[in-house]
Amino acid sequence: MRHKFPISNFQFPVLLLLFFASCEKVIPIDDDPSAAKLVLNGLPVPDSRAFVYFAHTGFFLDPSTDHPVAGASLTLTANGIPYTSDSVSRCRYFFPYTVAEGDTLGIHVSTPQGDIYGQTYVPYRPRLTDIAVANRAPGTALRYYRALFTLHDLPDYREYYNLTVSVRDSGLRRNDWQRTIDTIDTVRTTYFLLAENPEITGSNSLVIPMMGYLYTRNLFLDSAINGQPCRIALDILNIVDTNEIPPFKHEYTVTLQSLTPARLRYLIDVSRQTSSGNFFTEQSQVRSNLDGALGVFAGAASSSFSFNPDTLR
Amino acid sequence: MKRFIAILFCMFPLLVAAQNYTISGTITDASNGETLIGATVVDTRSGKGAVTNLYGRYSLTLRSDSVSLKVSFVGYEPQTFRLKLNRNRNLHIKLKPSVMLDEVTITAERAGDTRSAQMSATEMTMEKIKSVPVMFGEADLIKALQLMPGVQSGSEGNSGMHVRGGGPDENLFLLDGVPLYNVSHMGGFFSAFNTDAIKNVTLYKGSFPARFGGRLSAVLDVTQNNGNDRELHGNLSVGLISAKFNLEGPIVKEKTTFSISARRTYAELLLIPVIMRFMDADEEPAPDVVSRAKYDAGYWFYDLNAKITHKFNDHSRLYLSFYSGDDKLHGKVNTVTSLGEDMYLGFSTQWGNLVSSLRWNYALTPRLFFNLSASYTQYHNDILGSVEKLASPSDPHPSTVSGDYKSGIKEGTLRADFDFTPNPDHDVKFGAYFTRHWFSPEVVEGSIDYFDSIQMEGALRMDTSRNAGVIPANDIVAFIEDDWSITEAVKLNAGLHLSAFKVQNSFYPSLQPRISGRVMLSPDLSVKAGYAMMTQYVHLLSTTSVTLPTDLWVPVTDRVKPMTSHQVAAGVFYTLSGIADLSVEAYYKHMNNIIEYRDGATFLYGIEFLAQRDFGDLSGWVGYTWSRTTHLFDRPGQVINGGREFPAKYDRRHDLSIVLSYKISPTIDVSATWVYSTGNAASLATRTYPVAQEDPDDYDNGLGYGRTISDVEGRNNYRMPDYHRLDLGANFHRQWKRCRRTIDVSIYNVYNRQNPYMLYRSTRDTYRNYPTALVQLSLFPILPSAGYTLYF
Repeated sequence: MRHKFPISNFQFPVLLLLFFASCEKVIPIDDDPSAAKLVLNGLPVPDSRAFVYFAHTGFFLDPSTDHPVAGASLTLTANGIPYTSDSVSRCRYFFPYTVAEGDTLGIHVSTPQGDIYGQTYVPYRPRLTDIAVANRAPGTALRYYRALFTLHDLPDYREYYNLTVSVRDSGLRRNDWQRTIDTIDTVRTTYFLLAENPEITGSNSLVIPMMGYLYTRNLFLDSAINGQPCRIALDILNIVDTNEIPPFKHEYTVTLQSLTPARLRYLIDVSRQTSSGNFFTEQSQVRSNLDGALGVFAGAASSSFSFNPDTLR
Repeated sequence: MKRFIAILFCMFPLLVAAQNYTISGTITDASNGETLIGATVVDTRSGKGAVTNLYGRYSLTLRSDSVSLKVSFVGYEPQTFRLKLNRNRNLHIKLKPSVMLDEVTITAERAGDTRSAQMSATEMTMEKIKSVPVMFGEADLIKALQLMPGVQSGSEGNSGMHVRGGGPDENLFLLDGVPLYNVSHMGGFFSAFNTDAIKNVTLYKGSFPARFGGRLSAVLDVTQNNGNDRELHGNLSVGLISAKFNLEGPIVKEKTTFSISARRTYAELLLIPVIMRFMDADEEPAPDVVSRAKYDAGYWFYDLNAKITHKFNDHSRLYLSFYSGDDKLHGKVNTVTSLGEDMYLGFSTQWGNLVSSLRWNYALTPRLFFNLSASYTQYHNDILGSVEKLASPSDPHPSTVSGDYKSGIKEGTLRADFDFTPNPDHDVKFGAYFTRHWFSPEVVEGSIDYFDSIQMEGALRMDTSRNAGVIPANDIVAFIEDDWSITEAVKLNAGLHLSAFKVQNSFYPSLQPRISGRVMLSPDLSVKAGYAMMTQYVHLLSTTSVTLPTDLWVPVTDRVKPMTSHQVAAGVFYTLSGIADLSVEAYYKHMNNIIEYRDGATFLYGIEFLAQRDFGDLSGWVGYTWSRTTHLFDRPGQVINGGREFPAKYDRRHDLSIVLSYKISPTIDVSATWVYSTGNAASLATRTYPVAQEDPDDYDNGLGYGRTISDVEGRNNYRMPDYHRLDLGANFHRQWKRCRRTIDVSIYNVYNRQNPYMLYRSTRDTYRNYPTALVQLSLFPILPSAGYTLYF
């Protein structure tokens, strides 16, 4: 009599063993200190103290993030006036100057490894008026809010806008957290770039659940609305978690940022590199607008308003 | 054009000397009536000869005299005929398969061998393919070709082909003369070619004959079986993940035949439990999901090949060919939330080819053979996702949200070919074809059907679509080539391929010269050289290194120019009588307008060595390739890697394959394959720096402490570890009165080499998501498999 082996009892474990016995192994790779490069990051915004981050790149398996550069001298030029760095903390170099809208800024770093140069300007804050927020679905558990506001675009001035929504959430089940946005979704950006109608309307797809968080970002040019008031409507998903144990609080913040072209390119590059991090695609390089270093030196200015959904009717 | 044709027809008769007569006919397999491609007919007195074409036809014009014809083909017993040639003769020859091959039978002139003017070509017999140890018990045409010099796989187990450094979309796959756009099943682990349905395979890596065009790097010409014209035969095979059958026979004896082959996987029987176990082992479900009760998932692919052949008479035949092959991956999960919402999340993706052709060929005169065909091919890809919410206590209104992503290509072709043999020194092929393409690069459709409690107006139904539209294009081609024996020692194959492609407002004509020549230095030694220009009007947009159905075929546009290549090759071919055939070929290729989401150039060069033995108990080959492939994207607005040259992903300096097959006895044969290649190039950033911040006190910027940017220093700057593996196989045959069976057993990757499939930066077991190691993922460890085939 022949024996019968049910697949789940005999072949299956063998197959699994064969498939997964040796699928992964660690590749030894050593750091090469000579390959370290200089990095300078500076994102000046109005009414903030000017500072830049200046350091070496680190080995990717090294958990420490700050790699100071010895013997560096940093000078910030604001509207033609030089300011020397007066304090340093964790590779952050501070200058005795408060950034203002319309500033023209330059950075010069002198190091034994060479000099670094960069320059930018600081845009004007977007002017937002007629702000109104309403609950679009009172009495329902999982619906969304509509935020309305008017953007007054500056005439004769090419502007790149980054629209973000963040939510601050505090409750017993979640730690207090807040997300701000430093990347854009280039796919969704198309929606706005192609918008011909001055009335820009987002939908609930604007809110993107990622990695357990909810946030959104959108980018658009002023080419369709140059110099005209533009009414923007955003439908924002209510993220109330009915399993959450009170007391809890949600505070939504809508931010509109005016970007310099270098800041725009930086956002796009960072987004591309982040989104290319899957198994099958390669990472892309984040381009620098500096001479002599990786990083970015680019201004931005933003306006925002917040609302608490608990207060809405 | 009329004048050109008139001159053409006037010229060739001048080449025909007076008092010459033509012997023509068809050479077939005596056992089943299958036409033999590449069989030779040689007049041993004059040394003049002819080779059968794709339809088994030959034509040999000789002076009126007594002639002694020797007819031979690899694997068949040669035959000799003596006849008095005083008129044109029809001579249809049936060759008997030889039981045991020996060196005497190796006299046929095949593409790529010492005597042919053709170089950079490889012929693959089904016996050879089936003798190679296989993965999952499934003999695969593409995987066997990957063992030849100059042909590389993309990645472990992948059935994509990189020929002389070219991309997988730069290969023209022809099934009975009709293009196949996607030749991969199961993400590339299997090819669409069912070996049971195939009669003949020729791969051209360079020196392309003028009758081929449309791709830059390779042409794979696959011919399906016509079917046995005497009696019903077939086979039935069962492997580790698939089963297949082949049935062929006469519909009208020695007149009309059929051949049908089908293959279907049952991998889901193995995979679904794996998927389910993984899903069951998932971590804590999302907070609002209280149960996940039902799963439904599966994957399958199938191939169906069919062919009907009708012989009107000895001069005229009709062929109807058909192929259909699809893959489908689908799944559905049912979840119930704490609100009592009962939801079904489903997805499916289905992709595949449909190919059909109707072909009629007719011997107009003993020297002029005519072939007319109409064909249709299509590739489609359809990805469907849906969320279906049933009515629940918290929301009594059911809703459905679904999205559908489609892409594909269709094309229809009308083609006329002529094969004209004015005398034994010339074999002229000429013809023209017209192709109408319909590209559908991307169609996205969405629908929402739910009760809008916000508007409180009632049910809302919304359909959206984003449609790139169907892009029609026309392609017209004319070609002429002559296989010209200038002297006994010198042979030339020269031709022109003229194509013109019209899409939207763009029109791209292209005149592509092709030439290759051979000089016999001795009866066993020849040198060859060739040049070919190729133009390609379609691009495959792919974001990944593996073959995925989401890859899009798109035509050239007014901004995206056709890709072109110029390839020169030279080689030495030597027949070591009674031992093996040896060849060394060197090539240099330059390709322009290469698309990698940018527009650039590619430089490819290398040298290939091949020693192969097709006869005797011990057969096989050793192939070695030294090559280099680099890209350059330095045009304004098209810069990659800072405008510096960088290696292609599959730039492998060394590539070695050793394939041996040994017949121990009439009932047992064993085989072994060892492959070695330099590791793939990969982009690996080993240095990082922080993301820029507006607020100096924002340590983590809300995105996790230490979120960093990678400094990608150069494209493909890192070499993966070398690839090598050993496969072993054995076939056990048994003959019964009316049927026979073969049990094949093979072990893939015998010494369990962990070959690199991809590298990734592991972040496991860390709090802050730091990479902790560079990890290599390998796909296939030691993998035994077995199959059973019954022939009847």
